[in-house]
Amino acid sequence: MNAAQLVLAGWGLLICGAAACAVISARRHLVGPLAFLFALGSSVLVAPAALSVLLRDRAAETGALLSLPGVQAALTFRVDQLSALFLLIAALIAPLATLYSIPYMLRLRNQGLLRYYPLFLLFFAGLIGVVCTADWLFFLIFWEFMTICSYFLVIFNKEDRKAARAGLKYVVMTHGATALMLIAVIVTWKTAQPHSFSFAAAKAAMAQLAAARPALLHLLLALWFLGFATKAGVLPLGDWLPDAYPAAPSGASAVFGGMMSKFGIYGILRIFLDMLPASGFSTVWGIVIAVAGASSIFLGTLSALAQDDSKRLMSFHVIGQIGYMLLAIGTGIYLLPVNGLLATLAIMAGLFHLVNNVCYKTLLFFTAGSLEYRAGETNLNLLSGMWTVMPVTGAAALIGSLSIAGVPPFNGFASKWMIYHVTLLGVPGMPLFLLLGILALFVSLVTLASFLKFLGGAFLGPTALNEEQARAGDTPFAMQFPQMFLAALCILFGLAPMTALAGIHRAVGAVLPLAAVPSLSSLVGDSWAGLQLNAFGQQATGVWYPAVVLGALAVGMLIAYWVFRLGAAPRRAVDMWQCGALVDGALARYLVVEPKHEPATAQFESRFQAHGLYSCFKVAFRSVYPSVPLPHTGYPTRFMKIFDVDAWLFGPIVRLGNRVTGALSRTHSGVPQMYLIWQLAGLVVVVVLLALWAG
Amino acid sequence: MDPVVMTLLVVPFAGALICGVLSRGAKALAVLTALVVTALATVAVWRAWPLFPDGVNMSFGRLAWMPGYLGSIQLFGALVDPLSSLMLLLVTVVGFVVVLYSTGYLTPGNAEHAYREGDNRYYFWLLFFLGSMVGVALSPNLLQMFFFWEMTTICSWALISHTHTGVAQRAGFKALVITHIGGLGFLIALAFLLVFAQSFDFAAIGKLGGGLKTAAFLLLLGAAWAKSAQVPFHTWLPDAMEAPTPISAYLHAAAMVKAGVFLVARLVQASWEMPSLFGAVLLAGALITILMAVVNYFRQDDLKRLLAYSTIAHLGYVMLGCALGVYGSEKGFQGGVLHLLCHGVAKGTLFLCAGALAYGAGTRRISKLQGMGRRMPLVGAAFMVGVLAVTGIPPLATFWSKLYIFIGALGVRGGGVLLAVLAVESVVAFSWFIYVGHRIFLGEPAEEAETTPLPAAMSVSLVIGMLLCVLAPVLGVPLVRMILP
Repeated sequence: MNAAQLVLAGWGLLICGAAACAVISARRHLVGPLAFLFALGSSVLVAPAALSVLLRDRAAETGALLSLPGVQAALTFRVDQLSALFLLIAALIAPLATLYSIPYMLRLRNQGLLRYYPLFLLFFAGLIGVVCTADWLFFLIFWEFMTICSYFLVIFNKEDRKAARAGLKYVVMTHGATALMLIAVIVTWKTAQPHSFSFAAAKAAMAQLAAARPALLHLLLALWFLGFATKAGVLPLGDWLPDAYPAAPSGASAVFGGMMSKFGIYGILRIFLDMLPASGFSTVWGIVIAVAGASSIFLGTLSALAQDDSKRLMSFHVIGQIGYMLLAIGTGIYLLPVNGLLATLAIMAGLFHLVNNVCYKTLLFFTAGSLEYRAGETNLNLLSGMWTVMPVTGAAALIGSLSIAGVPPFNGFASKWMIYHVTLLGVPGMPLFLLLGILALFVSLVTLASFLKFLGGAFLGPTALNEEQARAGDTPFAMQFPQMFLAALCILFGLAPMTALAGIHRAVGAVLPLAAVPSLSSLVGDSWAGLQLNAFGQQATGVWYPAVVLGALAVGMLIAYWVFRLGAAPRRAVDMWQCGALVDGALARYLVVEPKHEPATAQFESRFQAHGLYSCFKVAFRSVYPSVPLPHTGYPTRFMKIFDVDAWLFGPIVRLGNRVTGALSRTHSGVPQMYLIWQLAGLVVVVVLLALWAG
Repeated sequence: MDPVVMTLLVVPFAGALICGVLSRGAKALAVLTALVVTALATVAVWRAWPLFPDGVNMSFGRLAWMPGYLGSIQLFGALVDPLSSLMLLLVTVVGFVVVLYSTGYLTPGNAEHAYREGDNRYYFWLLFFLGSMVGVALSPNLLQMFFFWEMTTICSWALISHTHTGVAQRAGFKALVITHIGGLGFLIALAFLLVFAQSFDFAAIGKLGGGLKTAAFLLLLGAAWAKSAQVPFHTWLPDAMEAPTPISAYLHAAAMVKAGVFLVARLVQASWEMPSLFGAVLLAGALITILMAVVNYFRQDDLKRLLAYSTIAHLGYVMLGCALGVYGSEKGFQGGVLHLLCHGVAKGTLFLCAGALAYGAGTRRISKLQGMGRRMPLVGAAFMVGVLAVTGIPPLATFWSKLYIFIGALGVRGGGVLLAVLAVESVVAFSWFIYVGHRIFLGEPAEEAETTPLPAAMSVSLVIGMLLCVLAPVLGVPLVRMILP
């Protein structure tokens, strides 16, 4: 059994699991563990298979599972190194998220679980299908399948009008995006000779279009980009994202925010690296992707600053973080024709950030869900002091927050550092990238600020829970374990970035349109303890050894303490800032008390406001990322009248007919004399006619 | 002469007659008859399959005693080729589901309209219609098709006015008049064919001279447009929604309205050189119809009327596929024919859902229905599956037919624009139907949404409908691939 067949088996197990969960969905306590077992079983099959593909550095393939000769499409499971990377991610998150969902979903007593676990497992099956197929038609089929499953998870709370609207916006926008991609796929199919949907044919077709019809190719690339960017949440196409992700149950939100958006990146890599030859097209679209990424970083993160809802805040960061990946990948694509080495490094940086992001973003969504689980609340203004109740969740949230903010030695720092490195150093003659890199660097600070708000608002300060809630303690182990696991990964990838980069290098190498892929050691050095970036190939342009830096930091702190003791500095006693205090004086004008809260909570809010520090941003950035309401449809009444054939054609004809026949029927009066007169008149007419004819 | 096909043609009419006079048990007999017909149709297709794409062509009627060429013209017969198999399976399978559904729907427990009497006449007409549709599907020539065609018109009239309310009678009469005027054109075209081409074959129109050919084609096209509710003859279909909902599902979504596009598909497929001007007329008509229907979606509050407009649009799709066939696009034509099947099952399912909602909640006004997902989860699931299937979400039914049509559209000149228009239509329709689904099924249940539970027959029908939405392309794609324009 080769790796692809193993993945197929894992995929089949998910489908079976969905069916099994559907059957026993009424047994609320059983269905969750059952789903978890199936997810775990599937991961046990998928993860080793994906690992073996990465280790052997060779793609694996099943035979054709389903062949559609009518349209020259065939479903094969083909696992190349890039697929393997994403498969590993899916295999990691699927069981964790399912495990997390078990206690979480039990709390939602008034919703049937038939609409959760089966769809959840099918969603993962869709994800696996997306990365494993080597045929664009089946890619879109899995893609849309995944979208529809996630849509049903978004509208899971079916009584919630807001969730329904969010789901509508989500499914409409992403379906439109899929339609764009379908057009691109069909045009590519048409171009390929012989017609085929396979990746190989599409690759050849793109090369042919690049030479013969560049304008058409640009159009196709634009369609692809729009399609994937919508899914990834790039602005302004990602307008649906901050509404849709928080609406789903937290287990699903975590998967959407932590993982699903990244599959848009997978699509972009497939198209712009695997399909598109390194050429002038790469230059143009590299810039487009990088600029789109940078704008996402800026707008997404800045908007996050103004959010009070923890899950919504996370969702905006999904947009911002996707921006970092796109910035790096766009830079890499731009560099492909000129500097293969740096291009590889840039794309690796982007993918590394993606892997890291999966870890900490899923973790953070989990923590937000845990807060909701315990306190029944996602509004950061109403949460407070949860640390005393939920220390484990709090620690996980801390690690996740520091990671996403790019604080060393966590994983977010390592990848962000690589991204800054390539954007700041790398592109001579194109100052745009320098600008974008600096922008990313500064926005990272905003990320830190907004996660301080999350941490401070939710975990610090006095507790807002009642006694009963407080006694319940931290969340069940099934919810804690996924967080601890992901937190450990955040630390691992931070301290030993090579563990991830070795795999990522092979994943990138498999799709890079370069004659020779630079070796891993020539790019990031060969030490497991750190990174040694070689942006120009000769000497190290940047070095990062977390252990060394941490050690130096520790030594420095010891020295500082020693100096402090030596100087015998006097101690001052001040109030500790608890991320919230009584707001008065000059700051009071920024106080935003939403009228929906009870007066008691409003008072609480004014004392310990999560956004105490951020009110000014909230006011200033309110419209940075406006949430566009769905337009109200007006009826083109005049236009409709044209088609109202009854009114202007059939109706008049029928009325005319009625009038004519009515007039004729008057001749039938029923009076015998009248009929005699008619006969006489008829006789006269006949005689006259005869006379005329004869004469 | 194949006994299976002969039995197939006779059984529904026999069943209809017996149902018409039985004092009780009409329901059970109707279900049995429909089941037998479905089984027979399956057997007939299965036996003919090895001979595809030619299939089985039988001739039963020849008036040898007539003088001259009249004696040698084939009048009646049965043709089982891929195209007729597709139609045959559609009308029999959906027919069975609808008959089964009707046994639950036409009961005194129906909250929208308590059906207390009229079972005999209902099942008589329903089975009579089933037989007529089988006749249309099996027609080897235009004459026989015309006979059965007009029979379906009469059934439609009787079934729309089934409840005998004033509105229903008006609607039935309107449908009768409009489709019958179309039928008159059909008859005149037949006369042309008889006199000038001496044949009723589908390809006979090719033997006519220039002007006459155009006239005959336009007359036949007019008949098809009237039957399939295409602009400008579309107005009867939304009004026909006064019919009991199973009738709307069957006659006005899955079967009868398909007769028109079936005729066009037959004409396009027949071996004669169709001038591309005819294709242009077909294409223009289809596009205008789709446009008209889409614009009308947004102001419908009656769920069934909304579905009716959607049906009109999708029949436009089939016409469009046929037009692509005229332009020489094999894929486009196959897609059109496949759409006939896929849309039939998907829209049939949606109508059954609309009926179930009306049965339970007593109304089919979208603005009155709310939060029905909690009251009727099965209907909610079936409706969503139906919506996804009818708007072309992979891997459900119409995705495949639309894919074929899209691919076919790219094969003709200016196809890119056509593709873009169709994609926009698809997305708009999808959005609107999802929106309507939200309005009906999500949110807090309305006060009056206290519902009566569905009879088992209706629930089973809904489940079969959902399955058909998945399975239709599995059967349909191999069939249409054997259809060569």
